[in-house]
Amino acid sequence: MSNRERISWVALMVNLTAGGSYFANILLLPASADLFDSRVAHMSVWVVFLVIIASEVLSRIVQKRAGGGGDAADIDERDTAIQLRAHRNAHYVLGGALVAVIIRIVLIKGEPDSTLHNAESVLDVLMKEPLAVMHVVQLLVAALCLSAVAFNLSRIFFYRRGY
Amino acid sequence: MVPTEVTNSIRRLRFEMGEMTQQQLADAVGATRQTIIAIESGKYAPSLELAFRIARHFGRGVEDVFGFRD
Repeated sequence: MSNRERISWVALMVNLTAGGSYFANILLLPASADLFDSRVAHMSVWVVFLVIIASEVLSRIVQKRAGGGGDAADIDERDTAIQLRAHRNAHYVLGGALVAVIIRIVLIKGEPDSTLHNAESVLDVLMKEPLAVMHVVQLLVAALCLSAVAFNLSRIFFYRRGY
Repeated sequence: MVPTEVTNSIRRLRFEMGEMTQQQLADAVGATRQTIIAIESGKYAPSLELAFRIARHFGRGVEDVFGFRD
């Protein structure tokens, strides 16, 4: 396994762990939970910092253990081509997810918070109820997470396949 | 996976040049060892520029190093 592939695995694990823990917390909140609440905002910021810092630190550890130089440090035309393909796939996933969010918003119209009595959790709200702004934000964050996962999965796939 | 249609004789040429390692070739042509491995195994077709650099490193023409499967 090349160092770049190892770094992709690390980034994927960080994305899945941070995204998974974030949405596990958010989606199980009661439907009446205030998503503008400072604890939720702190958690969102914490997750973003965790993803950035953990990805960077773990990538540097992988590079250092590999001796710093070699294919961990240099980028050649194949790396660039793989990056471009991975970005393209991530772009497709992000576009598809955004279209899904738009369809979801358009399909269930109505005033936010008017029918919350049918929902038990934030997950229920996202699936069944008219959406408030912060609910839309959660869907957009989910779209970004999916896109990041698609990017890292694509890189791993192309590095394993050779190109 | 469908391998590339571009064939090459890099492996043979490396051994003809005193068993040059993949890392040495990669350093000489400005690529990574993983890319040389991918080219040798027919999984990746290099750009024209990299193909010229590899051929020049072996002191051959591009068509002596690379071919196209009919």
